[in-house]
Amino acid sequence: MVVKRSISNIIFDISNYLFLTLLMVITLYPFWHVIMASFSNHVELTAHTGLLLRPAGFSLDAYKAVLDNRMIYSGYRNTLFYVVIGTALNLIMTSMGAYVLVRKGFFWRRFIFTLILITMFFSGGLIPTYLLVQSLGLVDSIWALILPGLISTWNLIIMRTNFASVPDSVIESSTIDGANEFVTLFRIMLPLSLPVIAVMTLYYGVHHWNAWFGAMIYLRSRSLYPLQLILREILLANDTNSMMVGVGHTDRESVSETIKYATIMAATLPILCAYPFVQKYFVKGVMIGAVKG
Amino acid sequence: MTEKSGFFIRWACVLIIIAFALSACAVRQTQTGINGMVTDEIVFPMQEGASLTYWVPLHANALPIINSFSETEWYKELEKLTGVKVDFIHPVSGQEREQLNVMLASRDLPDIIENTFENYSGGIIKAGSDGLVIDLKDLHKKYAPNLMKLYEMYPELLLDIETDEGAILRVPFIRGHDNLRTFRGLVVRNDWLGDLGLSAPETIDEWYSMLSAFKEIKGATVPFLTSTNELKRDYGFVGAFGINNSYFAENGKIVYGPADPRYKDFLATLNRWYKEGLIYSELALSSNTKVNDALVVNGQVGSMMTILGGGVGKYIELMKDIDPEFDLLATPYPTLQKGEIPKFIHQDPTVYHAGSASVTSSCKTPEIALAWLDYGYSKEGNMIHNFGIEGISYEMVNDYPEYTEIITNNPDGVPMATIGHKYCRAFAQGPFVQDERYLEQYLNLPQQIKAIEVWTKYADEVNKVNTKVYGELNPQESSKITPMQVEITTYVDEMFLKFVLGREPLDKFDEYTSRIRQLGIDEIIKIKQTAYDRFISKFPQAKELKSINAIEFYRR
Amino acid sequence: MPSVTIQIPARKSKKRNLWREIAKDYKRNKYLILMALPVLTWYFIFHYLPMYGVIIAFKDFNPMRGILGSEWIGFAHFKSFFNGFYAWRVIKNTLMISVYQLVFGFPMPIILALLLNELQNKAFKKTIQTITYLPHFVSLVVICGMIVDFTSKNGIINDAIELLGMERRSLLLYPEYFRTIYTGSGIWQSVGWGSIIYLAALSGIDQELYSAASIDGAGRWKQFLNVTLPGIAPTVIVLLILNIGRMMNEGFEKIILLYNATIYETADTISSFVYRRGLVEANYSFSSAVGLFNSMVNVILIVSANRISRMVNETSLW
Repeated sequence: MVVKRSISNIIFDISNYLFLTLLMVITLYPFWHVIMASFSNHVELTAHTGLLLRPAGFSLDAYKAVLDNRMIYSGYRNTLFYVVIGTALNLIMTSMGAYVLVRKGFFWRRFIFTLILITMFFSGGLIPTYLLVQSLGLVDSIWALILPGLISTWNLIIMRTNFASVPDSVIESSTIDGANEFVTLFRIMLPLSLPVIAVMTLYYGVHHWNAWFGAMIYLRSRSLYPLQLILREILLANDTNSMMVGVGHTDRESVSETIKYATIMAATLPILCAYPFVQKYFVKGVMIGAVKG
Repeated sequence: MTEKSGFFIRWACVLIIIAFALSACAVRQTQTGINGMVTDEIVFPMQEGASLTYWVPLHANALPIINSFSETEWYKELEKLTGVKVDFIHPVSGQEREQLNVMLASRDLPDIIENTFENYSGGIIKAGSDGLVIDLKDLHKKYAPNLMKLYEMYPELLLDIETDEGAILRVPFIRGHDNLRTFRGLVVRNDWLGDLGLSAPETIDEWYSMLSAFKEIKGATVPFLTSTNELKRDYGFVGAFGINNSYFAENGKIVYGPADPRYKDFLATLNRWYKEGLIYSELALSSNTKVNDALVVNGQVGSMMTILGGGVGKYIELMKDIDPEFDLLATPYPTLQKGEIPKFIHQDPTVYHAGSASVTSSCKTPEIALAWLDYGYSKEGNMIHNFGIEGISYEMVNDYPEYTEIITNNPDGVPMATIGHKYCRAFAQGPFVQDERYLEQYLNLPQQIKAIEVWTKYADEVNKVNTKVYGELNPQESSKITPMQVEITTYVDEMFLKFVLGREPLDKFDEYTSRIRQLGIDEIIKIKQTAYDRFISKFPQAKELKSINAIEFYRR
Repeated sequence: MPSVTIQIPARKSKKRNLWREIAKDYKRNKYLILMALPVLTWYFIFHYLPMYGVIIAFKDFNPMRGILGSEWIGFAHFKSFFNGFYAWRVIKNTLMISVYQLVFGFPMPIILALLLNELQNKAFKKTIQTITYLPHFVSLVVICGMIVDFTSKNGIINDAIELLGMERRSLLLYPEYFRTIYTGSGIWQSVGWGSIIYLAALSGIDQELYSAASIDGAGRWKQFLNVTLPGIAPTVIVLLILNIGRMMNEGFEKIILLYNATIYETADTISSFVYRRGLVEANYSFSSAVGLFNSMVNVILIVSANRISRMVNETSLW
């Protein structure tokens, strides 16, 4: 009986490994495709069909063109700023909101929660929000990309759910020891909830990394553009949606396909490089949470 | 009881706070006032200086080298000559429409907007009646001497500029010469024609036999490369059937092409071609230049509908090293009968709205805005817009402005299509008269020159049977037809592909037209007809157009 | 085995005097109020102040008059939507895509997290995690470009289809495939990312519970049923409720990057429809009206999901 169980165990393990390896391959191939395409010669690339396992005619021209584009550098700088400052503020605000919502015996708790839930479903829409940002004097300012998205209600609820699993007794004992609520939040609650903090950091961080709509609506100066907006511009530049398409004469040297791929690389590479390091802390956070929880 | 009153008190607090905050907001919003001082005359360069804000999309080709028009040489020169400082606002390329719409809806307006306003519900007329853009007509006399002279010489231009009520809402972009207006059409592999001993096809039947030959003998997998949008262009095959894919005027009557019986023949032809593998099987996918390029480069394409620069020029350039035999030939716009004069050709309007500039109601000094725009129509302004700065980007050789090597053969290796944007505006649209001599130096392959010749052959005849739908709708009319039009367009787009791809049999064509009728086409046509008649009775000369080469204005 | 209940017990009000209670609460929870204040202020400014904008749905919006000054027209926009030829089709398509997402998209990250949890080889686990998170960082324009490439007649998906002995065809030209492509690519992009939250929940399970279970003679399957599943159930349920509440909120961006007129039949949803009418034609009133209808449906959905969940297993959002 023991043997039999271990056989089924082994079968499960093997198929599990196989399945996950397959998943890995499926996930990786498109990235491989982009990397190889970015190193390709653009004439040979256009002629290529099927799987792209190695560059079609090696060439670094695309990267030269991308690195000559000054916007890429300011894009990096701005995105870095939005990610770091934005995420830090997001975390502070969200954890305060979530903490308030799990403190039993707080008179306003249910009321605040209702108020917050309502906002998940009803919003004034684009125009009133724009008018608000405008009247706050934030148009064409970096804060227009940070302040309106300070809290994601979705994330707040996830955080609250996790905070709620910390036993009341721990919190109570801290407050009875005379620590005020801020101290309890930052010294007791957050260290106990490291996994969810790690997840929230990633969620918010990636949100800032990928954000472009707000920048498109609120920014006027190209020097403030985040990287994603520049990426979009290059990718969609010759698209049929563009208003400029009417000028048929002038797009003789259309943006070559390899430049698009090189731009994707330039916009994704930093996060790919930073990612293993971030993930280390993330995994560590999960482990600590596991030990303590 | 307590629960209830507690609830009430909490919400009361909230409401008070909201009310307070709203009122604070309201106070902030009421501080707008226009009506700047009206000076007598504006002399450039302005001693006292002035500044304007200007919203304009940057051309995608310009993006690698410029962040803003304020970095360009032509603008710097204009600033020096006028003393007016302009702050440019450039939307994100590809998102112009969305950004402009939000700005308009929020009334957060710059002084000048360069746009068609076709995406503003109701168009520029509605933008005018909504009070977003202002009527410049009265200001013209005093502050736009160059434009006034131009309109005096070519009063027909005003047909496209002045509204029914006589307001002037835009400073136009004018294609200064017929050769600048025609740059799209059908091209075929000239080397294949030679191999097969065929001549350039003129009729639908000749096209059919040529495409079949390409497929059978030349082994082309895509005898005719196209996309949905291109197939619908009136100067393509649909025009051969005497209709277009939208509204047009036929002997003074407005006709909606997709609901016309002739449309059935057009669909039947395409359906047959599609079934026999003569046209691109993936035409319905949003056009992907990469895929198109790959097909052409691999020699799978026998013919296509394309543009002069980004098509003919690009492919000849690309294929130089791959297949030296490769050659493209522009063919006449197709017809049903041999020798027939086509009813539709590709011809951009002389007054091209995309590059037209409008002054908004937020502008405190509309007279300066107009005068500055008008300066672009002066002789010097025109040269700066088209060629840049003499001695730097062009030289006068025998009275002909020749681009210097900076443009034609840039030392840093920047292609002409890109570097041109740094020195002049001719490489994109804008409020000025475009000079055909820019194009002569830009499109100089023999195939391109030949193409312009072939495609413009019947320009005068086509202008005479002017199919253009005149007459702007007033806001009530346009808000009435918009919802119906949206549904009809969706339905027609969908059915067009279904008929062509054979998902629906052509027997259903009658069912299809009656559905369009059900969705309100008759009502739309009636409204458009009224507007058309209104316009024609006012300007009977619009029925027969003569071509205008407005650049002559500067050569008198 | 402790199951975490996140439902807030109803507040028992013993005090008859409400004001005294507020005063007492103020004294006791001064710091909590101080903490709640910035959060509430933010919600007021950025969510409640612009909320007057919903009235735009009942007005004929004119930019020069502003939202408050525009003319009231009642339910005209709602009527024009529901009387339209396409209203029911776009509602149906939106629902169908949401159902696909919920049925196929929602469980995938959970399954992945559970499978990862069963891995003994930590390095392999870490590699899989790292790799499956990647697609989330790629912008949608790029992803959709790849989808169009791969599903085209010469794309690699058709290479596979040909191997199976079937005919090559452009998958995005057939209405019957659109939902599968849409949902499948969605899973590809977000399965790893979505598993993060479950992995975090899994790591929060007390390891002693597993030891206790194995001492009791429970095998891997039993442990999974009795320890793992209950351990992540609250997270799963909260996310399920949130997802149901968002059912009708499929964004327009991916749809408009993928669809074409041949497949409107299955691909045209409320959001793409509203996009065409709203942002492209600047008909904000109309698009707000449809958006408002959408919100109402979502509120009904989330309230019922929450209620059902509370009845069945005592876990709920509120």
